[in-house]
Amino acid sequence: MDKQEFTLRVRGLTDRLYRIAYGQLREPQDRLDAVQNALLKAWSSRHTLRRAEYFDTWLIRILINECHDLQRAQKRTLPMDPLPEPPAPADHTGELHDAILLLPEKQRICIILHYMAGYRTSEIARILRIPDETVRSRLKRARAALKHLLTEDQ
Amino acid sequence: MTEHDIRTAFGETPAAFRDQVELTLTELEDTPMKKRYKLSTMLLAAMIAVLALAGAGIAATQWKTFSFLQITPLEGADSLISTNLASTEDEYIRFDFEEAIFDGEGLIAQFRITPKQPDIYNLSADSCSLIFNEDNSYISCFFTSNFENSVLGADGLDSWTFESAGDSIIAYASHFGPPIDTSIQMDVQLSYCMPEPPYRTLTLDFTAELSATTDLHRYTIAAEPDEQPHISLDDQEFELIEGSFAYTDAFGYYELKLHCADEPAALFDFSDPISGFELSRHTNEPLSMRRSLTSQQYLEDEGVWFYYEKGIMQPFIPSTGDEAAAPVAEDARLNICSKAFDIFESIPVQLIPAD
Repeated sequence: MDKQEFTLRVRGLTDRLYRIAYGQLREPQDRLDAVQNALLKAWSSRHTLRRAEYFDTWLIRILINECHDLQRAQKRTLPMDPLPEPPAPADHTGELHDAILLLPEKQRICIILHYMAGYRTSEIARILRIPDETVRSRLKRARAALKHLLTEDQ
Repeated sequence: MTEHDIRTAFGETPAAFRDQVELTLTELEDTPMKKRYKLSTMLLAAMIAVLALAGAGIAATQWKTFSFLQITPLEGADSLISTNLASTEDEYIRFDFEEAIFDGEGLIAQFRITPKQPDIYNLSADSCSLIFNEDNSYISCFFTSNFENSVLGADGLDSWTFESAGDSIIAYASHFGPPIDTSIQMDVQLSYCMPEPPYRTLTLDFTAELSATTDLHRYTIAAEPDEQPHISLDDQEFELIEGSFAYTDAFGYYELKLHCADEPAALFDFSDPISGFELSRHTNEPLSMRRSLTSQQYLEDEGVWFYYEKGIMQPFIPSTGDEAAAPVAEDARLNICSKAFDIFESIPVQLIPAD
């Protein structure tokens, strides 16, 4: 894969990468760091990608790993005061935004990949390397939790 | 709460993020790709490949199950296969238990579902759906199974997979567990729905003595003394701690314990595509027949992570026709792959006979 093809494919994924990073990391700067590191790693290890059609899931997996790395690093240097939840974007009401961020990480990432990034459960299973059935059950639990959270808010 | 609400909950991608992506892309050096690690087809198909044994005369491909799984079993596998085990039918459907492979550790069963009026009811292998031709309504069949005795555990058959065969569909199901007795009793239920409810159920009761092999070859998997038992996969580091490997003439089984340098970010698939019986290489889709009996990651001591997996794989060990021939330790390799990324790691290991 040459730089031109890599660039085109990454550009096409930018919105998805953002939503995934947003769901995983609180700080905007961390999201920028994560996506930068993920792109650099993907570029340097692109020879390991055996099938071009897996590029999307491959890059997203790397980004998720980067987010995990940043989270782990932050656990090792915990701030004295807990960070506030990020404010909802100005172009959307905050209830659903907050509810999604309150979901357990395993459910949240499934919601993001399915509803925000548009992946089928089989593709999410590839990305997360978990059985398809597990993805579906996490989505089901996540939807129920969202419903509960939103009802609770009212 | 609609799907659109969820899709837009995080708002638009900010310019700062787009700029960062563009900046990073701009700074990439357009260097040629490194040479990709190349594995032979055999290695791609196998997790632990014992390559030293030159193949001679294995057939058994007349068996539907082995053909479907694209397995070339050892010669002795013939004796582990039972055919035409049970049948039942009702007004609409005929349900046959045609073939079973039982090696004392695992069972794969093959069933055939045939509509009695194929010009009206057409069966599809897609999720074992019964398609009613007149209005093309989509009707699913559901299978459940139960073993009367505890030999195979209470879970019954699982991992149902289907394929078309003319007017019929063929269903494959598997069950693998600890070493078991030679007696199997089970009933398999086929539930289906015509265009109008209620569901209809066909129960296939089955009791039989299936022959199990006592010829189970067991090995301990150990890292080569002179090799660094080091596995790097997607920036995660693993080290082989212990493992075991066993095979019968029908299937192979493995257990692995790996030390992880850090908490595994997600379960990855050691076994694909081999324990998925290779079909995934053709369909690029995970198949339910792919087996990974147990996989877990756990923290044994603070900061020390382990990854454990137990699974089944196809019998990829070439046969010499000489059952006494043992795999050659120095040619064994532990190949690890990730389905999502198709990345493979291969490390040499020793297979030490357990007996």
